[in-house]
Amino acid sequence: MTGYIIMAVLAVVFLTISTVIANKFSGEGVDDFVAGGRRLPIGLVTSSVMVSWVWAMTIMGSAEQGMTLGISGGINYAWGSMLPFFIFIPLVMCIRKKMPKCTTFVEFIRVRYGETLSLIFVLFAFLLTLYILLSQGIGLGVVFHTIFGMPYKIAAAIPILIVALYIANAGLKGSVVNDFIMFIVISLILICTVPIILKHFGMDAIYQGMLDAATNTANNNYNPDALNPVSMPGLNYGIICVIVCMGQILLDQGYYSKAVSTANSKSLLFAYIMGTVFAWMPIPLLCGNVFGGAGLSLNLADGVLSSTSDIAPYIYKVVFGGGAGSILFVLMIFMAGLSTGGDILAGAQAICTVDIYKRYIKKNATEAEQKRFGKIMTVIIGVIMAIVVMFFEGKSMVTLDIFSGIIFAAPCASFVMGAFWKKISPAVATVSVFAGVFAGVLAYFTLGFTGMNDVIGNICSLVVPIVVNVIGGLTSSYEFDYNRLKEYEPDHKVTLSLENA
Amino acid sequence: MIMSETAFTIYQYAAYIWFCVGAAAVGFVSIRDLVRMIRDRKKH
Repeated sequence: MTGYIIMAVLAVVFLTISTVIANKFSGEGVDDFVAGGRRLPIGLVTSSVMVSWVWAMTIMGSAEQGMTLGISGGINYAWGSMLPFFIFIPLVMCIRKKMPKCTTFVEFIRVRYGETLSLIFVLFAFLLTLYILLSQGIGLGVVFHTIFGMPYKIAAAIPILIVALYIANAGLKGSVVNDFIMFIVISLILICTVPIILKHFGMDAIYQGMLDAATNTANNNYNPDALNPVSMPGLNYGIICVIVCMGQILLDQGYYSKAVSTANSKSLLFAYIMGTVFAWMPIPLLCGNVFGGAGLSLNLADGVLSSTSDIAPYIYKVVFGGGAGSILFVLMIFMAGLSTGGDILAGAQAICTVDIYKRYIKKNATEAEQKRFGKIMTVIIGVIMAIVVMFFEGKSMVTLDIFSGIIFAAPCASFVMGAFWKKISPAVATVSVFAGVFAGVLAYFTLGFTGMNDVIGNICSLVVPIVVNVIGGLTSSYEFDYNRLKEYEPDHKVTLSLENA
Repeated sequence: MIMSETAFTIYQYAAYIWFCVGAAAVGFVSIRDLVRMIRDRKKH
């Protein structure tokens, strides 16, 4: 019953907020709907960036890595997942400068490389949307089912529907304001519970337990690298994180919409640096160290946990007891899943509104019709994914996660390099995307005997397109005229950012 | 390489303080902007 009450209360809260935003704060045009009128307050964008990157995986996955890899687990999770933002930030600032009226990255790809590649990027963007909604739904379904005994199918589907409704209702502005509430809840729970957990186990006891895991071969969790901050397995994991997260960030329109929604480049830089380096990065460090480290130090026998990914809820249960501890943990995971789902859905909504309706469905559509189409598509995507996620009960996401790295890393090179280097032609860029996917999949399926096929597959998917683009760029006489980006006029009215106005 | 207990303790505290400072700073700016947004709306 507790699970249903939590979901019902939070659904009412978030839907009410989105309704208020839609009625009182939203403007009329497409630009207001998908980019907050390009004047969103910097603080709200900052908290939204931070909380959008807090996945259920950030809390549970980094805790799991802390237990599996030891002290290097959280460290490598943190830097590996944050590094792609340092590609994203210069990229989005460059696009903003070169193409002032751009709203979605699909628009940039269309002008830079043409219609064909832009449609391929739309496909990637939608696949990413489906993957992220699926992974958040599965995570929430498992957590609510495990802790409150809710049927998995209901627990996984309802959060996706809640997100779809509030994003459809209020667009980016509604998403950003709801993200603020989620940011406050996640931050308060972590700030209040971490010292209590550390006091419960004792810093010294955690260290001694980890030392035992590192030196005592009889320890159930024996790992000689448990206290090695620069272990090789940890570093391998960090590299996989970089590649997997690269596609998840660069192809997530939600992050572009937030970047575009800031008033100027200085605000954009502030929001992304504060949101990622200052507020997000310590979360995997804390979860890896405190939850994972405490789990490692307990020398848990086989069978106590159904899998190491359960270590974070297990620690909350041990310290706070079943009731309160479980509710705190579930609240945190629920907020993390909802905010991430909201971010990717707001992005998909922007692509539907800006790039699809007027261009491919109704040429003379008004902005109101464009907005309505975006809203309808958001609900349709939500309903489809709520149904799809029900069929994933008991399914592992591990293979899907590794594959997501291989698939979504492939388009990154042509995207990033195309923004900075005029020599890459549309043909070379298109070939590089397919070459990356092909090389990654091939490596994954043929190098199984090495045990490193997932790492090598991911690296191939990212590096092969870079090589193809460099060779193609150096050997062709093609030169793109960047003035075409500057002269770009979108199909809807755009409010320019302050430095471009 | 095994991290010493002192380094481990410092690391734990540093990560926690880092998060507190980061979250407090972001929280402060967010609340300030939200209040401004609501005030501006009321003025109009």
